Amino acid sequence: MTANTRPVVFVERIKNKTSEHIDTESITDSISTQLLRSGKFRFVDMTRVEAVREQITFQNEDALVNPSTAVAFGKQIGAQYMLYGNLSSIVKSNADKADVYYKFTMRLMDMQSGLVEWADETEIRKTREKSTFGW
Amino acid sequence: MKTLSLILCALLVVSTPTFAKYERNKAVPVQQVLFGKVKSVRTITEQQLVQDKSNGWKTFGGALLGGVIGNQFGGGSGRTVATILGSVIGGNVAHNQQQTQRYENTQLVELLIQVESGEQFMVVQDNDPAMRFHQGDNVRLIYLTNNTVRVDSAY
Repeated sequence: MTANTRPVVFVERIKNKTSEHIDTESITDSISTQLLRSGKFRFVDMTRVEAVREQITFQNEDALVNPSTAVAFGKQIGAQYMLYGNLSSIVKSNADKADVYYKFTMRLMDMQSGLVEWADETEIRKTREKSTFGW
Repeated sequence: MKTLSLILCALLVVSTPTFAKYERNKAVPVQQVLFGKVKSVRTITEQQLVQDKSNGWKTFGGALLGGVIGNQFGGGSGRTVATILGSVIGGNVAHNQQQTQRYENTQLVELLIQVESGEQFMVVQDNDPAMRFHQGDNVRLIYLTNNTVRVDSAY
């Protein structure tokens, strides 16, 4: 079955290395959603591990739950790949203009071999004319 | 034993006291960013710093003088940080005296942060009502090029 050959990925996080406060978790969510929708990858979600552990512990240890329906421990699939990245910025400003270059880098690492199997980056430039009162 | 150092954060521009004295959404040059977790949070007032200064830095001075901050800020020593701290307080008091006799009791927050490398840093910065820190929070320690440090929450 093709579903079983799709690589299992976990998203580490996008490290925000700019001076600005940016919700990189939201960016990460968008990326993993797109990848999941593409049908080429399977994902495990590290941000919900504790919630899952709590639920499975409840199912297995609480007398309320029928043991035959309880989700068993030790059946989850380990991720083979880690997706991670950086968001950085370079700021250049002079008397009348301020330029900000944002660089977004992403990598996919095969955790068994440690090899980076894929990497890509993109740059965005934002320019702002300075007003009399600064910016 | 990990060196405990105290870093003073930006308090440079004196503006309205209800907002933090810096903009988190402004793109400025960055030297480096360290990621870590908040180990403890303590609210202090500028008054306490002023008192401690007149006591010869008994509370905050030890950490300052014994810290590694001097190396990080290049060529300085712990004393440099004490001087920065002193000048910030001095500047603020002078500013207030110009306007009124009222003492502006700015709320500051002292954060003990353990970064990913295991080192611990003590940071004193403005108490920003829009961004409160709690024990266990993921944070970023942003080293700006004007030799100040800012703590920002991370994801």
